[in-house]
Amino acid sequence: MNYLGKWLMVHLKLYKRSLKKSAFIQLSSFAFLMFTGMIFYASVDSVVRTDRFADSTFSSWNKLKSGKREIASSSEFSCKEDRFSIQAIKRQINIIQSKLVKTHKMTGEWKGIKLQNLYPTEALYLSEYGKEVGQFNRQYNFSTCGDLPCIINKVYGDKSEKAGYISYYWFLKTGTILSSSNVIPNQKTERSGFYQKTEVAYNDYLFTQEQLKKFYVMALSLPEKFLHNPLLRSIHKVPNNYPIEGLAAKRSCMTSLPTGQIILTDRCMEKIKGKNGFFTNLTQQMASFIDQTVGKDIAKTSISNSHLWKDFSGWFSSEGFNTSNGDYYLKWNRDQSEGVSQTGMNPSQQFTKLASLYRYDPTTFSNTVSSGVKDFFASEVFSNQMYDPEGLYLNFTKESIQTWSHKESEVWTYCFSKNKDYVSELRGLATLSGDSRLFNCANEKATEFVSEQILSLKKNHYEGCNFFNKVSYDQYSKKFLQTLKNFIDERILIMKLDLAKFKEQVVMANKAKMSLLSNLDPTNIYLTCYKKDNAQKCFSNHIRTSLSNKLNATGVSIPYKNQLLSDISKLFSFYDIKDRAESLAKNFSIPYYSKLSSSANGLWNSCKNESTSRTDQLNNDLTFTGQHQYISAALLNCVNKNLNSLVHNIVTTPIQMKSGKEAITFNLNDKERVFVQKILKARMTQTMNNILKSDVKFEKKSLDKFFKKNNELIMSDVLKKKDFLKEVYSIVHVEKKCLALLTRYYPKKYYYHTTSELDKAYGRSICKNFLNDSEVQRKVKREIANKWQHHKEMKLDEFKEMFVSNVDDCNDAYPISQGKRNLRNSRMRRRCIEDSYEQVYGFVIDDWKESHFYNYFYDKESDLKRYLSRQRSDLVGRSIAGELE
Amino acid sequence: MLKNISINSEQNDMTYQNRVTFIIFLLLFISCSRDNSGSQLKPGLTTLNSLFENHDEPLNVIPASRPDQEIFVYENMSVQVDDQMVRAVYRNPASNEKNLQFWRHKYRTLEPSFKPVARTDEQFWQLKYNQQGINIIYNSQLDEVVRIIEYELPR
Repeated sequence: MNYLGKWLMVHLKLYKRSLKKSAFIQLSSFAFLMFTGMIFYASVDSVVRTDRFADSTFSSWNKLKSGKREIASSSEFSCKEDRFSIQAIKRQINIIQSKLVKTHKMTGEWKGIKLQNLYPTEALYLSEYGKEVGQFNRQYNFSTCGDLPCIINKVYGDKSEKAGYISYYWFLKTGTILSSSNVIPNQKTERSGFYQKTEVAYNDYLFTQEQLKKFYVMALSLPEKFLHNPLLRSIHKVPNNYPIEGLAAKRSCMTSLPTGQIILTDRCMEKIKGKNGFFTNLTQQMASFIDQTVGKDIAKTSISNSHLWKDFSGWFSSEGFNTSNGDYYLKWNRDQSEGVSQTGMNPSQQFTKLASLYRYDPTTFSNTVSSGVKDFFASEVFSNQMYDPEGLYLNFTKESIQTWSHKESEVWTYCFSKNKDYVSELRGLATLSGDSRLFNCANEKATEFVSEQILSLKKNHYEGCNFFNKVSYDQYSKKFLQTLKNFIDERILIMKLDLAKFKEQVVMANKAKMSLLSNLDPTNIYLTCYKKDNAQKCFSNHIRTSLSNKLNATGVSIPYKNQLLSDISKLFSFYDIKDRAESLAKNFSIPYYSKLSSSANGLWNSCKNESTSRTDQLNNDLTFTGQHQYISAALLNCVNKNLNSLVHNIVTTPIQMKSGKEAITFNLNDKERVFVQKILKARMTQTMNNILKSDVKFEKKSLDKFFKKNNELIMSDVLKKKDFLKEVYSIVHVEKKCLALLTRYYPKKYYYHTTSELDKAYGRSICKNFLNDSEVQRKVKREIANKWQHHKEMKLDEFKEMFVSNVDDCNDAYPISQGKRNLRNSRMRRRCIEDSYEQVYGFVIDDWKESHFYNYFYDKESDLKRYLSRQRSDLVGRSIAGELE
Repeated sequence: MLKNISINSEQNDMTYQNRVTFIIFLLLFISCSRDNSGSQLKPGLTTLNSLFENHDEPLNVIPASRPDQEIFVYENMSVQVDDQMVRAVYRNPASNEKNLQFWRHKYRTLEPSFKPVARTDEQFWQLKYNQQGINIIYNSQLDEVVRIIEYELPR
């Protein structure tokens, strides 16, 4: 110890001396002190600060938006208002638009309209989905239009203006568009306005007013998870009275494509057996995309493909293979004893059907499934929202209780401040007797809260008005009011008891609770935890620690602190916060979409320019796969190599929003970026799938054009090759040679076809045409005949050579010199020669069949056999006579 | 002397332990090397006897579409047989085979056909290379290859 002390003293002195002398030591010491200071501050800060989960960018942005929303809606709501009036629709549009961030102005033009003059979301609509607006190739005069609804109204020819406003509202709310184009995805013909081989009037492609109204109602009532799905892009109606073209299930009235389009017939949008098929049918198609996006999060595959769902629904498959035609077949079977009685063709159809019933036919849903399945849908797909009367009662009650629990501390703070002498009242409170001004204040506030809450429920929930105004919901709305009242009364009573027991501590704790609720951002905590193995546990631990730290600072007693902790923790449900974070992230992603779309196009084009090689090997790790379409390895590798960094660059771009005169910049933090990137990557991939789809069409057209234009040129060029028709052995051989030669004339750049596909689509027919030319045919026939004759003679020479050698062996064994007198020798020699002939004949034919010439001359096998057989009597006779040499 | 004996006995123990370990590993290797993946099966060439010699008992035997054929179901594959001969082998894709592009590129010199699997609502598709005797089953909803069938080339 003594030694250590001395050592320290000596070194301290040395250090002081060098500090005086050396500037470097001074600088280093300063830097060291700063650094350790910072580390110390950071570590103390992380322990002491309870607001390290202060607002995430998502939440700050949301707060700002919520403020705007209040201004926009300005409590003009009334249940009696005509929901379909233009004013009502416009108001709904304003509510959403006011929530959106106005990002950079889009540049470019669409059919003469400058995109920068439009609202950013309107510009986004036209830049990304412009092809789906209006009759293909028709000239419209949009010069009088200053916004998107006007453009769509012109396309529809709708003087009521509803088509335009509803279409735009649908887009804002769901992130998908209602197509007004007369080209249907996957239609067989390239021609617009043609369906099922007949010309169709443009109006037959358009949604009717009644259908648009249903879309509007649906947009108002769709659950959160159905909005802005990154995989879903557009909804198309096939012309009236036509079935969907090219669909294997001919009678099906709807379908969805992996590239994000839903196709409906008008039959699917009608009432069937008294029930409104529109809502359930369309929701069913939308649910097929939910199946994938939600499934990837919870089961790393689609929900319907997961073991979880198969266990619930009892599905199992049996497969087989038809060895005669090489076709695979798959049959789904169900164990009927499982928790779902609804039939369907396969797990996917069943899942989507049930999801649609859950939302728009809850009674049938409840009669169809077990409570386990219902809970699964509620928690995983519908953010714990339910839509039958009992469910609405539970939703509204839960929401109202949550809202009161959050507002409660504000109410008490207000009442405490209004009644400064509450401390003197505390003595009276000990007996819980009599009214006090403090509690009268709280009761008044509670009554105010209930009426505000009812208005809010009516305004913000599609079924809100019906729930409180319709007789059929009467028992539930009464039950709701009673439950809410009981709850608030109980909370006030608890406050009375707490005040009696913990006195002034309650006031301090209430203040702390209020500041905690306004400062703590559970979304940020969720984002910290969501990638961890036990996200829920991580989340509750973080919440508890944050609360505990905050309460520790107030100095409340441990028993009261524990009581408050369990009380406040209940306000932060993991699943509610998860849904909230997802919804915020989704809304926050919208401003990025315009950038995403142009970046995707840019990346695609630059990769196409770079990737001309056709010999590259495909990389294994593909985020964007191209689905079933062949894409050249060089192009696909290039797109995948750059995709992640591209999305990353997009999310690191700050977003600006104007709040009054002030411009606020939002930068996502790392955790948020990862979260938003997940959504953008899915959307980017789907955008690329659509770029690919149209580019494949374009390439096909270009190739058609190219070969049509160059057909004659190629043929004459091939004909000019002097030696082309030399060394040909069969028609197949000429075809092969022709194809090999043609490859040189193929275009230099093509990305979505293999060379063999080009051969099949173009090369073969060119070669066939070439071979059909009478002059060529004559030359080919002559050449093949010459080659065959030559080949036959060559084989005969081979045959003779071998035969002579065998005959020599026979002559050695049975010498010819013994003449005919030695009958046995003569007989054996004859037999030996005859056997030799047969042996050599068999050998030569077998050997020939294995040679590559057989591929050319296989159809001439019998000719060769005949040719060799014809030599038999001559060769054998001459050999016996000893005349063959 | 005693010390030497104890050392010897320790050495013997070590040798004994090593032998036991070696035998355990050998048995483990032999048991693991029983191939149930189907990679050794050649449709149209592998006989039923050879299948039984090289593979464990099937988990299940189910009828195929043709009454004269049966499907032997193993853990990672199924084998369709008739007339004492393996006709088709179904297996799950390896991780690098799950992407349809992998197959498109592997057989890019061949001409495939791509059509939906009947009665699956166009969710499942088959990419058939008849010249190669291979059929790739693709789930379009998941964008993933789910099954690979190698079959005897048409005679």
